[in-house]
Amino acid sequence: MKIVHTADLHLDSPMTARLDPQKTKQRREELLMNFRGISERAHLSGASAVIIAGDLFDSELTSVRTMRKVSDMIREFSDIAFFYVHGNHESDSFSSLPDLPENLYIFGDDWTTYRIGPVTFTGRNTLAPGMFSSLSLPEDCRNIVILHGAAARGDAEIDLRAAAGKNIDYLALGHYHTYSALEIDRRGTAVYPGTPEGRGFDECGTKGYVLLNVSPENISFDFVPFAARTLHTIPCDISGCRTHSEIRDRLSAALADIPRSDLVRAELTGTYFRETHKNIRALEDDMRGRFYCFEIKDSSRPYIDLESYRSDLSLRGEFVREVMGSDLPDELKEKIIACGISALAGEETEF
Amino acid sequence: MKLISCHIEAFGVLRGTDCIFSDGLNVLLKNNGEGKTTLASFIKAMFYGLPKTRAQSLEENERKKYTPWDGGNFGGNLTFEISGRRYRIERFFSSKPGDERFALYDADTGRPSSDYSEDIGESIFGIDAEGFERTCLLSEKPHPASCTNSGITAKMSGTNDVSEELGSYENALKLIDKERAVYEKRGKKGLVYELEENISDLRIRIEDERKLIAEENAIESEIAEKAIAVSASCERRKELSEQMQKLFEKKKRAEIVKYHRAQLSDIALEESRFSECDSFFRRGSCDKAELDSAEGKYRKIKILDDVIKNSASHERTEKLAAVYGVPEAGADMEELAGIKEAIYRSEIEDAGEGVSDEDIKRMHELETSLPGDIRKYPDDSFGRTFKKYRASAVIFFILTFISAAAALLSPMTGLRLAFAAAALILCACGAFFTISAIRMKKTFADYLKRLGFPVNSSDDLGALLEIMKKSQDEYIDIRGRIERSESKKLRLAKEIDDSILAALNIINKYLPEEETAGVYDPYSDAPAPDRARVKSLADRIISEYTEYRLLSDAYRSTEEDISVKKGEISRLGKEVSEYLSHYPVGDAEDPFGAIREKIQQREILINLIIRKKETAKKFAEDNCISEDEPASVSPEEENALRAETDAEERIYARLLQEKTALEKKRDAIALSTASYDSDCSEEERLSAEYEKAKERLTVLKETYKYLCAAKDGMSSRYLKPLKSSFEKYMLMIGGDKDGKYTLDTSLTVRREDAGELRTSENYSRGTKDLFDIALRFALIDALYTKEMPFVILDDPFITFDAERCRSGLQALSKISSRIQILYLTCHESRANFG
Repeated sequence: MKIVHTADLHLDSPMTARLDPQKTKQRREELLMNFRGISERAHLSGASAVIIAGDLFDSELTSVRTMRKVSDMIREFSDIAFFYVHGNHESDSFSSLPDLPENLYIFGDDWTTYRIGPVTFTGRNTLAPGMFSSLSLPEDCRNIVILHGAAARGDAEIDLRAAAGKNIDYLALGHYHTYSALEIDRRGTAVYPGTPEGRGFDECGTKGYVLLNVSPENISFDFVPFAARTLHTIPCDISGCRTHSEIRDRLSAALADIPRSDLVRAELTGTYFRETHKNIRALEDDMRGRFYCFEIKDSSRPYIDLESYRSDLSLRGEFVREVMGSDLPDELKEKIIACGISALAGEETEF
Repeated sequence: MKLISCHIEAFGVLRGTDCIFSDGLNVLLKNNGEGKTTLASFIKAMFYGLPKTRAQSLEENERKKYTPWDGGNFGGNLTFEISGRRYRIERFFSSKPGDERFALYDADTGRPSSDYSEDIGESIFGIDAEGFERTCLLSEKPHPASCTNSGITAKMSGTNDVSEELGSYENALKLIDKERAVYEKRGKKGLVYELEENISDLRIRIEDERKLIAEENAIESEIAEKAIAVSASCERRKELSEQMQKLFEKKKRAEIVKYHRAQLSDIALEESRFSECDSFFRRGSCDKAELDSAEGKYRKIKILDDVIKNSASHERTEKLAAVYGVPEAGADMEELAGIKEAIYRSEIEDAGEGVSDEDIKRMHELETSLPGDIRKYPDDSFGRTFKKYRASAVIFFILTFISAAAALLSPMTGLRLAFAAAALILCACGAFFTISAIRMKKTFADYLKRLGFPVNSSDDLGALLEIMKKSQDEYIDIRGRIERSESKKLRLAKEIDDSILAALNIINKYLPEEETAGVYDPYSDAPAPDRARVKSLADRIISEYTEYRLLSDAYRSTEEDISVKKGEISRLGKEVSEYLSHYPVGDAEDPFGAIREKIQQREILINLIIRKKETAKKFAEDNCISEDEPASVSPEEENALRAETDAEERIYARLLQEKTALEKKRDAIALSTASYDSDCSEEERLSAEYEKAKERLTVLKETYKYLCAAKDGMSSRYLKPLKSSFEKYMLMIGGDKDGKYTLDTSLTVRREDAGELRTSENYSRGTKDLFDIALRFALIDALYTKEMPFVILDDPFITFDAERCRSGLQALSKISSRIQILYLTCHESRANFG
């Protein structure tokens, strides 16, 4: 039996990558189609079930129209059972919609179990300390448990130590937006599929879903990349560049392998000489047309040889020593020094 | 360094004055106005020149002040020693700073020296003129509150490029201030504040939008519920419509059955009439041949009787022979009898023709309910026409759209106008066909409503057409039957009339004209002959001919025949009586006529019943009517269904109205929240900008703070030794052992008294001057660690009391052992260094 595991789609969420209204609308539509795409893949691969481990929607402000579209999509694939657990971002608005599809299985606030052949699907919407103590699963079945929250081997919402020895073959989790797998015990593994489509630059990298293969002996799984667009944060060290053209060329080289359809944030790092003309806006304008979305985060700093100021009796030296001797954070110290030195040089403050 | 000598060519009151300076203390006791201060100013001017100023007052304009009163070469020279080398400065001034002359010579070799430039004072002392005045030259000028200036500070801090460094510091602070003002200004202004305000406003708007979105979602849910209710109501309306249609069908069916029942009732009535008629023949035969035979016998009896009675009468016989004694009389009578039979058959057939009252009533009903337009269209042509109208309307509107688009896209004005005009015309045509189609449909709907069929706006026209067609077919069928029946009756009437005319032709041969006059006149208004009269005349001549034949035969008979005839009369009489006894003719005058009438009536009824049965059977077969089908529909059932339909219509209308209102409200909210995404993006952008602005502001503030701290740090490096030195001189000059002093980076002295730090402003003039003198010497110690300068003191103890003055003079004596002092005073008491 094949099963698809996904979570954290956050449909109808605001896009945190700063896009114009048209692209925001487009991305939101892509997110919705992503869910449909996963369902379609499940159907084409002959999957019997799709697990949605929470945060299908972003908030209680999710529009009823979106919820109905999702409901219709689930209904469209009536040969697949959809198992749905609430996430921390959701209310029960979706569960309360009238005329929900029959192939949608919703879990309650306590352990609820469904069964398809030799596979059980157990889940609950609310997490509680000691919840695993009341969980009882048959040993001779393949048991899948579905939860949404932070899991760890220790003091956490979902304590994997407490889940050990409970005949769990696969703990389908949601909450963290990056794919990861944690061992529960010899029998089972806890897996976060991550979000299937990144929304902001805090969700960079390959995104997708997890495909489970249930056999009489065990449950194996693979991560399947599946995102319309990938977000990238690419560092670009501009140390040593003396002109705007050099910076642009180095940046261009760093972005060479990124597909056009993706969203890119280039982070300039390193140091630059005070006389280097660094025009961030011009760089953004140059690169913008190459990608679906492009922005620059400038973390570069003007080059300052702090050592040379150690024995400098001038005001500059005194200033540098004053700043370095303070208990300010290092990053702030660098900026203050850069600003002060530019100001003392009579130049526009750069930091 | 030390001064060696000077020559004043002309400087203020001094002219041609020479001074020799020794190491250590040089006391110059001069009266007021003899040039002590001028000498001090001259020495300073040699090192620093005269300041360039536009001030007009003498206090502020030294050039003006010291311009020689008697003219002469304004300036002089000064010889000094520094680092073991002796130099001679020559400076001559003028009223214009540009005309000044400076020269430096090596005093030992007499050669010009380039070791120092015109800024020799700054080069040697490392401070500007102001700094020099605040340290090495204590003149009669009022002392500033602070002893320091940037030059002193720079020198004490040991920095090179003093003025440049300090200039950059001041500029840096200005730059930072200027940039800081962009981010933060007094009175809640600046970019940071503006961003804060904008973000706050945006967040309030976003929060409002979120509330609206939540409201929109709630309304959306309500709309969904309403949609379900509307859908359910629609289903229910459809069900009720189907029920109504079934009821209508049932009603129509009941009408059909009722009609059939009416047919059967009619048949039953005819059968009852037949039974009644047939009862006449209960004991007797209804055979016409038997009747003719019996009647013939009856006539024969009469004739035989007449013959017996009037056996001798020739008159009657001759009379009859005169009429009927022609050879063709027999054939004519036969023909006449045939015509009579034909008329008889035709009349029977005619009596059986016709359409029932129910059919006529139904036809009138359909006639009055069929609307005028429909009459024009036979069969399916209405449906075809309606479809044509509808298709035409669609085509015209499409053409209108194309013309309008062409009008918008046309580059030329003329073409645009032409297309616009065409669009208008096409639109009008489309509207015409649309209205016509709508009217046709409405006519349909009205027609069906009149028939009692419940019509909804969503009903399929095809179904309506079918219903109309059925009604129309029914109407056409009834009308056809009526027309056929009428046509047949006309034909039969004509046949009868033709037969009557044929009979009349024969009759006219045998009867005199006056007897047949008035029977038929083709030139009169009467369209047809008097049938009854003709039949009666035909009967008469047949009877007369029969009589003639009988009389002829009887006339030829003899006496023997009479008894035979009597016997025959008796026999025939018995037979006739026997025959008549089977019929309830009673004492009818013409029993055989009565029987004949009954036979004819019976035959008519039989034909009628057969025909009606056939019609009823065909009707039942065509409409599949069964015996037990009901012929009516309960009015309560219909009323209840109508009431429920009306109620459901009201519910549907209300639900639709409510749904529409909710949708409008939702759409209005959606419009208000259309900018939610962009507002969120904008809030994010502004928040990022705000954080960046705040960070920049923090950096600027910290930079400013640390620059000031750096400057203070530089200054405070020397403050500690300076303070110690100051305290030393306070003790030395003022005898102050226990004073607790502080010194800040602006070299402001504060003394702790009564728990408070007090500046010199809190003390007497003499104490102020004491602070000043002690600080100057402390500064000299701090500034000149390698080569000590000379110090010029112009009556420094003028405000001191005697004891303090003594201490001061003693201190000067000690100090002069390492610093060359030029002490100027105008009073002996202050020149007593003993």
